[in-house]
Order: sequence, then C-alpha cells, then structure tokens
Amino acid sequence: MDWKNFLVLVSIIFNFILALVIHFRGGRKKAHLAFEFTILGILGWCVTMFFYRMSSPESAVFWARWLYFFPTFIPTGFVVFGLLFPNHKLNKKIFVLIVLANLIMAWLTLQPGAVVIGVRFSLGEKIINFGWAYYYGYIIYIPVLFSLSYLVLFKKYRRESAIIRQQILYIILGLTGSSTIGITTNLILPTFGFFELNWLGQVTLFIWVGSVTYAIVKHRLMDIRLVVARTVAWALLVFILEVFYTFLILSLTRVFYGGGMNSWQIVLNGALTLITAVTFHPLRRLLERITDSIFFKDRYDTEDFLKAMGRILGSTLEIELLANKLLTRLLTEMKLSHACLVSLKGHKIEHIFSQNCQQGAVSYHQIRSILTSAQRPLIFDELPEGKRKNLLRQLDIGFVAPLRVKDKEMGILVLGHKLSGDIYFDQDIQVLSILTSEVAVAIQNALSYEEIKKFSNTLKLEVDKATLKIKNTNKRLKELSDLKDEFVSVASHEMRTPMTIIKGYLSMLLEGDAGKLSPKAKDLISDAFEGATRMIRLVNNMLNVSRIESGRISVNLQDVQLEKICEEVVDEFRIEAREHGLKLKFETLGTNEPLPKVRVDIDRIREVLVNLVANAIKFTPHGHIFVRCQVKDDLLLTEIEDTGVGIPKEARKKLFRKFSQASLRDAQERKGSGLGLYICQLMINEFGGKIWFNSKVGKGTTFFFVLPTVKSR
Amino acid sequence: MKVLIVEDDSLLVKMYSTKLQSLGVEVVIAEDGETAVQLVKSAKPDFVLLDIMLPKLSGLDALKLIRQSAGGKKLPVIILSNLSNEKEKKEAEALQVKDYLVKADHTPSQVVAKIQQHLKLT
Repeated sequence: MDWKNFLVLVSIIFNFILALVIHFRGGRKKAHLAFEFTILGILGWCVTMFFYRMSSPESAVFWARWLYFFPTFIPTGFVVFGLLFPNHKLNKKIFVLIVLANLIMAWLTLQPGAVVIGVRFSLGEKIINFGWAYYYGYIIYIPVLFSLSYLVLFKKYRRESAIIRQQILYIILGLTGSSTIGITTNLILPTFGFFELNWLGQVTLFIWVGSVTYAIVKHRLMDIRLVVARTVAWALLVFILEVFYTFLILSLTRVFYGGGMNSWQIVLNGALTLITAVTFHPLRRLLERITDSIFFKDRYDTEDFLKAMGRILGSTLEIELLANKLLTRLLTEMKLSHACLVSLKGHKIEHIFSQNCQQGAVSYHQIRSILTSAQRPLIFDELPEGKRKNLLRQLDIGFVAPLRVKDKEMGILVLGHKLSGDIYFDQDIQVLSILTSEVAVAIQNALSYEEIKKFSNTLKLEVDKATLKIKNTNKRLKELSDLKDEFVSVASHEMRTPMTIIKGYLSMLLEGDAGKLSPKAKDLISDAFEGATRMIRLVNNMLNVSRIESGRISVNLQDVQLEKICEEVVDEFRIEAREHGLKLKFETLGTNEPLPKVRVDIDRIREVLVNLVANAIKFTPHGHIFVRCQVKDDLLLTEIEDTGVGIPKEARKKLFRKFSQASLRDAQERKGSGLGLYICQLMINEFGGKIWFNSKVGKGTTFFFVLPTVKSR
Repeated sequence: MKVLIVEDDSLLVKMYSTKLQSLGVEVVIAEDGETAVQLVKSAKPDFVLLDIMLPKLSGLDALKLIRQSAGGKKLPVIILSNLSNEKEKKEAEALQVKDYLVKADHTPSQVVAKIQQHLKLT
C-alpha cells in the first residue's frame, strides 16, 4: 500500500466519523438527511477510489464504474441540502427533477460502454477509456449540479442572519476547496488522459471535513456538538483500548512464548478481550463525564427546567414575587452573569426587576427601541456588527427578547452572558423562546391582576367615601325633616290659638252676643269670619301634609255613617255659601233608608269633605253646590257638584299633586295652598277608595269619590 | 248647672265664659292643671272643658288625678285643645272623655252645642 492510498484511507476514516456524527444526531430533519446523504456519497467515492487503486487488471473496470457511480450523488446531496437549509422546506418540483437526473446518471455509470468503456495499464498507472455518456453527460452533469448548489447556498447566505451565514460560509469554503480540486483531478484532468493525480480529490476532502467540523464546534451547525463530544470520547476510548490491548498481547506473547502464536495464545487473547470488554464500560463512563464537564459545564435538562419555570409562572400572580423567582432560577440554571425583567405599560416602563443588573431605565428604553423592529430575540453572538450589536456590547447584554402577547408589548427579558464564556446554544435559545412567550402571558396576567386589585381598592375607598357622605347627608336630611315637622307642629298649634280667638269672637258677634248688628256690619264680620276659617283650614292642611310625609299619620278607622258627616259639613258651610249667594244642598239618592256604613277615620273624611266643599265655594261665582251620596253596587259614591269656572285642561293631569293650583293667576285670585286635593287623594286611597272628577270649563266641576261599604268588606 | 273651664289663655277663658254665662250657665275657671284638680273637688262642677297644654300639670295628667278622685270618676269631660295628634286623642279616649274638640275648628256656640248634646244624653 503506497502512501497515497494510505491518505485515501485516512480520508475514508474521517468521512466515516463525520457520517457517524451526522447520523447519530438522529437525522430527524430533512436538511440533516440531505447532508448525511452527501457524506455517504463522498464516503462511497473514497472507498471505491481505495479499491480502484488497489485493484488488479481484471477487477479495475468494475471499480472504475463504481468510482464514477458514487460522485453523482455528491452534488445532488449538496443542492438538496442547500435548498433545505436551514428551514427544512423544499420545492418539490426542483427536488424531483434533480433526483431524476441523478438516477439516470447513476444508472448510466454502471452500464458497460456508457461512461467507462475499459481500463488499461500504462507505466503502472491506470488509464480509463471514457464512453459517450461521459463526454455528453457526466462532465456536464457534475459541474452544473455543483454550480447549482453554489447558487442555492449563496442565495441562502445573502438572506440569512449572522450565525447561519457563518455556517453557510464554512460549508461553501469547504465545498469550494474540495470540489474544485476533486473536479480538476477526477474530471478535467482524466478527460485529457491525465490520471496520476486522481487520489488528490479524496485527500483534499480534509478541507471539507475540517471546515464543516469547525462550523459544528464554533457555530453549532445542526446542533451536533453533543455528538461531537460523544465521538471524541469514543475515539479516545478506542485509541486507549487499542494501545492497551496491543501492548498486552505483544508483551505477554513475547514473555511467555518468545514470539509466534499458538492455540494458547488464542485462548489468552479471548481472556484479554473479556477483560477489555469488562473495563470498557466504566472507562467509557468516566471519560464521558470528563468530556461532559469540559464541553457542558453549564448543561441543564430542558424539560426539567421548563417544568420548574412553568411552576414558578403558575405559582403566583404577584408580579414582584414572580419576576424575582423567575430571574433567580434563570441565573442559577443557565449560569448567567445577570438577568433582568422589565414590564411595560404602553410606552412606559412599569417595573424593573433585576438580578445583578446595572442598567437604568434609560438603557431599557434604548433596548426597547432596538427591539421594536425585531420579532425574535436578539442574541449578541448572532448579531451582525452595527448599532444594535454595539448597544448590546455597551450594556453587556448577551440575550434580549421582547415579551409580547398578541403583538402587545408586555415587557423585555434581558440576559447577560454565560459565566462560562460560552455562546447561547440552540438548546438555550429554544428554551428561552418557549419561556419568553410564557413569561409574557404571565406578566400580562400579573399586571391585570395588579390593576384589578388596585381598581378594587380604589373602588372600595370611593364606595366607602360615598357611603359615608350619603350617611351624613341622610342624617342631616332626617334632622332637617324632623326639625321641619316639629316646626310645623309647633307653629300650627301656636297659630291655631289666636285663630281660635279671632274666629270665636267673630262668631259671637255674628250670633248677636254683643247686641244686634246692622246688616252692613254683619256682612263685613261674616267676611272676616270666613277669612279666619280659611286660615284655620290652611293650617290644618299644612299639618296634615307634614304628618303624611313624615309617616306619622295614624288613622283611626271606624264604621261611619257617611251621609251624616256630609250633612254636618254642609251645615258648617251654609253661612259661607249664603254669603256668596250660592245654593248649597245635601241629598241622598235612591233610598230613604240609612246608607251602608263605610270604614274611615271620621276626622280625616271630614277634612276631605271640607276641602272639597270649600274648593267648590271658592271656584263657584254663582249657581249651586250639591253634595250627594248614593249606593253603587258595593260602593258608596259621594259627589260634590258645582256650577263654577271648571278646571282648565292643562291643569287636570296635575290636579292631585302637591302644591298644584289650576293656574298661577287663579292662585293669586282665589288664594289657596294647593294642598287640599293632594290630601283628599291620599286619604281616599288610604281608605281603599278612589277619587276623580268631571269638569267643563265655564260650566262647572263635579268631584266623585267612592268608598267600599262595610257590608262588602 | 256649673261648668269648669280649664284654660290658661285669658282671651279664650273670657270667650268661652262669656258665651256660657250668656246662656245662664255658672262658670268656674282654672288656669292650670293643679287648680283644676282642686276645683273639681271643691267646686263640684257638672261639666269640664279641659285644655291640654297647661302650666304646672298638663290637662291629661290632671284628668288622670280627677278620675282617681272621689267625685271625678264619672264627671263628663270634653277636651278642648289645639293639639290634634293621635297620641293625645288616644290618651284622652282612654280617660273616657266625652269628646275631643280642636278649638280652632269650633266656634264657642258649637262647643256649647256639644256640651248640651252630651248633657242631654246623660
């Protein structure tokens, strides 16, 4: 085996390791599969080159065909990888077209007389005779597909963000290095009959493998860091075992047997293999632990971490407690220099919760301003140089993410750098992106809770205040009302006494107690007597209203012969009516028997009748006033009919209301408190009856009221 | 026929006594509750017109004492007051007054008519 073949062999081993690494990553994603496929193509190419170079004249044609079979897959793999990376999305039409071209070309390479016709030996070097398919297909197919893969990767390079660009750059560099040399030595030179350098293509694959490996370690291409670590451990183990095993065998063989192998040696070998197998696992574990401690100083279990965070987020609605728990956990789990959570309310910073942070509110406003355009978190290591990166550098920030709920900014999560000096790995970013959305919702809930709490407190205070105010006002009103009632009560009593004196003496004058009066004097004194009577009625009404409104009126119900009361009231008014030149008459209709009794308060019903008759006299300039009682079904109907001025239409609706008067002018002309009818209605209703009226302006008014008879109760 | 007028307002006293005397009725006057109680015993009136708001002893308290005294149990009494509250009315009723008249609502002759009405009945 010459040194060139040895180099090819080494190349095979390295590619194999790379293939393993990619494969152990799981190959779950499409881009990874495409990459694995490419490496398998390269591996096949290397292996067939090795065998082709070692082949005898008889088998050379066979290996030569396979040597051209495998490379057809390499550019295909690249193009597909380029199309898929990093989003794992694929245009199906292009994919099918490329795969179809690949399959046709691969099939052609294995056909006798198509690509490879034969191999001849010349000066120890193998010369391949190429067929038509080589000249018209193969030498076009390979460069075209490679160019296509460049094109695709370059397009991706221009479009992607910093870290992906770095990865693509390393892949392109590796690809350019190895593919140009590979195409030159295995395609261009052989076309012109120069085969001596064909091994170089495989050997230069180191450039490719190296750059990809570098991309993996430095920029976590496809997240195979973990696998790299495992593989290194595994390679070390194999190496150590190899040395140990060989050393044991050789030394023991020499000591016990002085060279040469026999059946004992085979048994011994078996035993030693057993020892190796037994020591293999603990040794591997130890080495894994060591490599883990180097590569993953700050490793944590994603699932456990997210669960713990979920518990924290769900545990409380108090924003301060929530933020502090969260930040502490983040710092300890991810081993960060500092962490900070800012909650926003509109454009204002509501709270700043910080663990080891030095920044002030101004810095957070700056951070917010660079975040508004970013939908995703900003990671210092991934940002291209520029304003944003400078700001993050200045503020010593490694990771910053907007906390949004449905496009509404709830806050910002700001993290420092890892204490280990490592970059944020894919695992971290994935965890953080899940976390940020959860934190955003949690902050929203906490803020809403805070707001509701605040609102409810304010509300309670307001309600208490208002209640107290109302209570005080009520108290004051009650005091005032009591005062008013007391005043009315005292005033009316005090007013009644002098009125009694005036009315009493006037009545005595009229009755001739001071000697016979001239008709003129009698007329004048009658008027004075009427005035005094009216005044007393007014005082009585005021007193009644005050009693009714303070709820202090109590009715003393008795079974009353209503027509007797009517008669008495009419008798009382007889003098007054005569003075006015009015005819006043009472009659019962329909029967000569006594009418059925009604259950009323005798004083109150008298007041009702007094009010109604007084009103009739007041509003009747001439004519008559008739008071009638009659039985209608189970009711006793009383009517007071006059031939007065009548009630104007506009006044009718309001007639029974307090302080209502037919009109202001009437009030001035006729004088009256406007309380009489109000009291009448209240009383009649109180006794279970009903009061109403008919009126024609200029013709007269009739008031009616009905009361249930005692029999009907 | 002797009527005791219990009334502290001199104008009213004059008014009622004038009216009663003009009808030939003998009149005894008490201007406070205590005097009224004494006069019921000493003057032995046939009828009493009793005010409520009085100095020293209110009309109703005086009536209570009168009702307890020997000659006062069945003495016919008309309350003549300008108070018209249910409270006083009920209290008066319990003391078996013949009537409760609001002064302002009745002329002296109407009061006399009531007295005559009640005396006729008894």
